[in-house]
Amino acid sequence: MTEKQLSTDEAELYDRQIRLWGIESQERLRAADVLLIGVRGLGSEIAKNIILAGINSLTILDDGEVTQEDLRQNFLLQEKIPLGNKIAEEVLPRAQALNPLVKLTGDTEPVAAKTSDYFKKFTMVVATRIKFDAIIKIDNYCREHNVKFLYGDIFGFFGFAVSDLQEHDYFEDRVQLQSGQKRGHDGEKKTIKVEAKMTFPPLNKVLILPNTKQDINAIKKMSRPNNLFVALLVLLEFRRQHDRDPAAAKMSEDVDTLKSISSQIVELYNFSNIQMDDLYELFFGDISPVCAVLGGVMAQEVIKAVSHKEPPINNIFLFDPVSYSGKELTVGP
Amino acid sequence: MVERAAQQVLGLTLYEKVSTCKVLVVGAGGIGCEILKNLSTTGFRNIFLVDLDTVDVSNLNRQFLYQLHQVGKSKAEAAADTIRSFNPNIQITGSHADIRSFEYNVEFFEKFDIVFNALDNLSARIHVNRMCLAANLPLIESGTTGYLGQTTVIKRGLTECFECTPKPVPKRFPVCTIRSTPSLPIHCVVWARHLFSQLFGHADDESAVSLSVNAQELRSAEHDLVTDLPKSLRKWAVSLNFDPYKIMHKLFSEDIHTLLSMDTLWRNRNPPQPLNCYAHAKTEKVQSPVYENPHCLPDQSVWSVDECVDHFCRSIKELRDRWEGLTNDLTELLWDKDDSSSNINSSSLLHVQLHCLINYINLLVMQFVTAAANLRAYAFGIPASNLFEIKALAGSIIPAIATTNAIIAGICVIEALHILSGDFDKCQTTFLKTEKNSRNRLLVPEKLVPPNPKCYACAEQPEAKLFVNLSKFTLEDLRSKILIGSLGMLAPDVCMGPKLLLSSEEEHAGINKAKTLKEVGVRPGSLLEVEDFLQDHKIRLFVAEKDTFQDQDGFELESRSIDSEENTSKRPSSEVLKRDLEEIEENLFSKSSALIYLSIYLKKFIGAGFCHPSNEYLYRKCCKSACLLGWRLILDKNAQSSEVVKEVIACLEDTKYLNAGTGSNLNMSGHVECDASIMEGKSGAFGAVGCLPGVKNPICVAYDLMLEERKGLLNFGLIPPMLLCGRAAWMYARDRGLGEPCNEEELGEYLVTGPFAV
Repeated sequence: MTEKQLSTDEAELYDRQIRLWGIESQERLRAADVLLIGVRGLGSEIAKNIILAGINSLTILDDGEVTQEDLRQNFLLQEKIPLGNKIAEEVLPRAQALNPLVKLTGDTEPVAAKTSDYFKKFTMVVATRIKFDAIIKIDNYCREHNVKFLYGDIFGFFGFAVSDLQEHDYFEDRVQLQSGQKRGHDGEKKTIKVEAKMTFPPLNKVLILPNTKQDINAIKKMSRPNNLFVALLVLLEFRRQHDRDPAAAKMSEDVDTLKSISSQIVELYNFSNIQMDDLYELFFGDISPVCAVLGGVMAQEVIKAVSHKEPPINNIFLFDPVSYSGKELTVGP
Repeated sequence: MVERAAQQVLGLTLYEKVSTCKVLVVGAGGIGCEILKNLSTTGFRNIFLVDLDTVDVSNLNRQFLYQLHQVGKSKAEAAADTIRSFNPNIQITGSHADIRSFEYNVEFFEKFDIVFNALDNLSARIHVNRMCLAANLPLIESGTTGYLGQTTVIKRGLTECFECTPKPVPKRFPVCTIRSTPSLPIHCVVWARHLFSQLFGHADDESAVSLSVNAQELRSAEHDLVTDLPKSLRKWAVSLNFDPYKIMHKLFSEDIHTLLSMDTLWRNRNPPQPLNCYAHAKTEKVQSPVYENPHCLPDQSVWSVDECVDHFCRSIKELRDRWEGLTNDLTELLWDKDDSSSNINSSSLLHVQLHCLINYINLLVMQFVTAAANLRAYAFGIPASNLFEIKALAGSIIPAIATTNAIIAGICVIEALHILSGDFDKCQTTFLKTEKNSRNRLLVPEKLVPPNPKCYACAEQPEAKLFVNLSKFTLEDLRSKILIGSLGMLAPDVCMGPKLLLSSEEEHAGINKAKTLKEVGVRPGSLLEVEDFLQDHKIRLFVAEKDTFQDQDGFELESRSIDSEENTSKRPSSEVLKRDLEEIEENLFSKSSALIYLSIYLKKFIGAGFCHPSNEYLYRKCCKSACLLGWRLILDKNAQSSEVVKEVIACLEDTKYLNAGTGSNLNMSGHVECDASIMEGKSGAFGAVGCLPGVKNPICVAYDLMLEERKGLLNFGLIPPMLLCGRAAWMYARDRGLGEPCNEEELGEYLVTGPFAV
């Protein structure tokens, strides 16, 4: 977009959200170019939310093909689409219909083929359904070019997101009462802008798996180890070892594997009191309402990061598959 | 094939239930769209959707089932079309209707297994709540504003229903503030809206904006301001052919002069300044606005007086032309907070044209309201607002974003899966918060709360006591204020014994709604049986006379319930209270929360003994001064919560109007003996005195005992006393110089409460 000011049409379209986060945020959103890696259950939710919010451009990178699972679950696809077509291209028409003002591009190349330069042109990179090595690699590339990075995944009822916004400046609006005024009464309120800064550690110092030559001592010892953080690592390690996610069809076999991986992780981190027995069976499949919840949280993190408004989650979000609570956890040096 | 994937994820049993159960979704707005998408991708196959709204441009940033070409169409129908295109196997019906209409009766609700509420208004929520109670259906209730959201599950007999906790009522402003003494921008906006209604729209008596010309009459009436009848303002304007300058001159000059002539109004206020609109008229052209702030929409610049005058003239002329052009079946202009109107139902080119027209009229109305509100604001020395802000104030617009709705709708469908799996105990209330005020928690689950046995809606046999002035209160008041207004009914019938007092059918022979309750034979103690057949809801009203209510506006409803008084004490504090506390905690320090509780419980405290209603203002005054003292201690001296409580109670003891300390009732032998106790929640320390004579502030003695206990054991491991009575308490107080022991003269100050009581 060349003109600086929002047009009247845009102001009308985005009226309700401008009333929440202000014009400045909307203008920054409109200048943002986002790369989304993976457009399955979770990815399509994130795509929907940030397209609706009104970013400048979204590039959807996914070299995969349309599967049965996608047709059932991905609302960016129509049922008539033949299996085997490239999903990054098939989602575009419906995604574009969500908001004609956003420039959309589909990219069907594999993530592994992308070099550092590819990431340079984006304001932010959001990734889902990628393997551990790719997470660390992309995070490195993003750091080279000062691009913000957010990664998240869904395993059954469990969902998580990890962010690396590097050095992140943000501001908040705080409402102040005029002096001598009573709370709860109408009156003139002054809004002041409060600026702050957050530093995020690189992800290779946040997510540490066994046999990766990573330095476990980089992580500050956690006073109360979090079961769900362990679960996150276990699932990443499962995907790394087996090149697939736990499958409902092989549930009992996969639960055993997950258990043995978790004892490795617990040993590596020297955790005590980790009880995960009630969790393992909840890690299977893509549950679409859970995609909706995590997709909402992650898209909101993208909006916060590119608009520099409101403090972002620092640096891990965990959605509890048992209690459905959602927590922020800070891990790193 | 598609189904097999779903079976694997959900398991066969749950999959069967999901694909065969029938779901009712009420509301196809922000949350509704997300719920519908989640239902379809989770494998639900039978959906009925009801919504009476049409698609607007400002919906498109989050209600993603709609696209630009569907603007102006029925939301329910458009959403159903879009869902069918995702998945043709889904049976979805979209009905463009009000859920409160008679076709959606209990039998209709009973056809479903689960109901989702995705509504934005209280009365529809209350109605669906009642229908689900009547049909014994699980209801998944949800709501969002901005970054915040909430979902909960309601099931008759197991959980709180929607009405178990009182809901905040939308704010209304006193008529005299709007009419004569505005002090905030919102007062001017409300006034300008009324002005628009009176000139072009639907006006009611209450919204009279302009003063009568007879100032003499006004002076004699003072606060009870005589006003023009609303119709006559329009008539007057028509007679002038809506000459904008004459109208402005009356509203912003003559009327202001009239108000100024009532000096009592301005003793403690800044008097307004009449505007000379003719003077401003000379500057014909409006300069193009210059934006100081680069992050600013054209609508966000504030108009000067000149600009307001210009916009007022232009918009009133155009509105007049539109209004005169109205056809027979429409005699009033309506406006909507959004830029489309819901009474259009066509789907052709005509529809697009109509939509543009309505957009244009709405813009005119907003310009008119903004200009009028700001001129009034300028006259009263109130800061002027821009069109963007006034649109929100006038339309009560709530900010909304897609992500919050997505998260909340996701939780809603997870709850539905629990219900279908038979794991009702896993259902919960979930709050979506911003992490900065909930300690790293974004999604906060809470246990579902058991039903309130005193609830008007879901108690086994709801009962209430109604206090009114029987010779003033009419049957129509009973219907509109009590049954519909307070008890949320739609079409109530009222019987007293065999006699039918009110019927839900429009014209019923022998019923005159203008009659007072006394005239139709209602006496103190009468029992009224009220029933709403549509909601399948009954309530018994016991009538009591309260003649202190001067007119038919006064009434009081008190919930009664036969079963389990003790249940209520177990219930956590109401949602409203909780929210207030959180806000306070967030912004001040937690100590002050004690005070909030205090100000609520003070009412109870002063209630001990006989309180005559005529002294109410005295009691309120006492409470207020005590609360102020507490605030001062917290803010200025950073006092501990227990100390604050002590001081506040001591302040109440010092006043002779209350039955405590100085004002205590005498005992049977004509003496005063006081009790007091205090406990600190954090440490559990406790101190109390009983039957304590001759001390002004017994609470100080109790407080001292508590402090002693907090210090720990006495010599030899003895436990310090927690409760001292009678003479022992008096000696303790004397030895430690506590609570100001009083002398013979002061003893005479002890009074039987209420020297003013008649």
